[in-house]
Amino acid sequence: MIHPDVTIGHVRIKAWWNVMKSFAIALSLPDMDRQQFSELIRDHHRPLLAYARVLAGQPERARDLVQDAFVAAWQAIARFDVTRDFGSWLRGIVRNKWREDCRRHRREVSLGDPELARLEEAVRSWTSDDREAGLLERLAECREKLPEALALAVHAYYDDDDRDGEQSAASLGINHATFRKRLERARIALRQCLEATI
Amino acid sequence: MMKPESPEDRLLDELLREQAHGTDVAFLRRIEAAVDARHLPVVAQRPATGSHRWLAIAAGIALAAGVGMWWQSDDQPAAPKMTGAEPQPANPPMVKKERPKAVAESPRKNRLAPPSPLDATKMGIPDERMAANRILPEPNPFREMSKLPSLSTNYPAGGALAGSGHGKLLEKLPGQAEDDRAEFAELVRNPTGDGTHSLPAMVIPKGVPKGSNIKGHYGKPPLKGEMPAPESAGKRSPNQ
Repeated sequence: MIHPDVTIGHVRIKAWWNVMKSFAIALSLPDMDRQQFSELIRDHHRPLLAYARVLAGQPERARDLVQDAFVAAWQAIARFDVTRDFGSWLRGIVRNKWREDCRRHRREVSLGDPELARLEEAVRSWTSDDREAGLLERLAECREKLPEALALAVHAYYDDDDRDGEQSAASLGINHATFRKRLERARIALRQCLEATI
Repeated sequence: MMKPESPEDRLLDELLREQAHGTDVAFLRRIEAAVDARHLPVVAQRPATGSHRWLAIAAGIALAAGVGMWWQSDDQPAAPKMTGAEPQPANPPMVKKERPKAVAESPRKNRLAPPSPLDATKMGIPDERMAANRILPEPNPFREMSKLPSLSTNYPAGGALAGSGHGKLLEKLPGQAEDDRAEFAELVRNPTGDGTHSLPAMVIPKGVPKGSNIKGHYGKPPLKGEMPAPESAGKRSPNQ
């Protein structure tokens, strides 16, 4: 079997490896044991956590939502339709848990149905072939393709949690408006890269 | 504010942060522990298959049929007694014991009801002690009604309606009720028998004028709000 890290030219063996692995897991879901479910957790928990943070806005609430979603998914794994995307199923559970949490704590639902639909469409457009399992790896590849100025802006802002926008701009020796503009251009380039590489 | 507004950019923003953080092993263990805490066997969570469902339905039908047959066989009358002339079977049929009729012989009801004087006599209780519970015999109204002359068929003709000329109505037998009704209807329509229908006229005593009240008639002043008596009221007529 080909090792997933092997890359030959433009053919990404790693991505195909992830596709095959996801299908194999999906086909074996009816007889899934606990070990296979742990593998699904490892593959999906990080993109799902990012998705939950968009919904909840707070990191700790997002963690609770993801944890509850995995527990609910394990309890209802026998009812999972193997023809569906496991990540999409998990995102649906997270959405339901988030709405339930907003109702229970009487919080305002920050995202309406149109925004949720756009969000789901974006995730599907970025993860249509290898699903969520390889999303972060492809994002890393896209970051490497950014121009240096934009890559520095992304690194200065995202790779250090303690820095805000002004501190990141100061670390690069540019003003805040220029830094903000570079960051916006970097996001656009990354989205285009993710959509182009599927 | 550096946070993007659109949902797509916010998701990309969170993905970049997640990528910078790396795998959170502690969070991964927390998820695994939560799943293990509610670990349920997958087989137990599966819905019932078709064969299991049909087995359950068949078992329920069989149970209901058994209960119904037992109930029906319990209501059937007991088998007739075997006479000595008939050959005795090797295994005599089992005759179910009849359930006690819960109408008058119910011991529960008898326990609650007060003892009758007759029972008290049988039990040796003095009659004076049972005086409070003594049930006085009440006359049967239907039996007493049969003694009325109008309902007695043996009463001589014309007893009830003497002088009306229709005493023969009472001579009819009970089976001829329809003819009696027809004759009674004819009697109502024509009570005198000659076609004239006359009722006794109301007799108004003399000296009492129409529309007067009795107080004004005897010379007392009417009360407030009372209709005043006419002028002739309260005056004695020369005839009186």
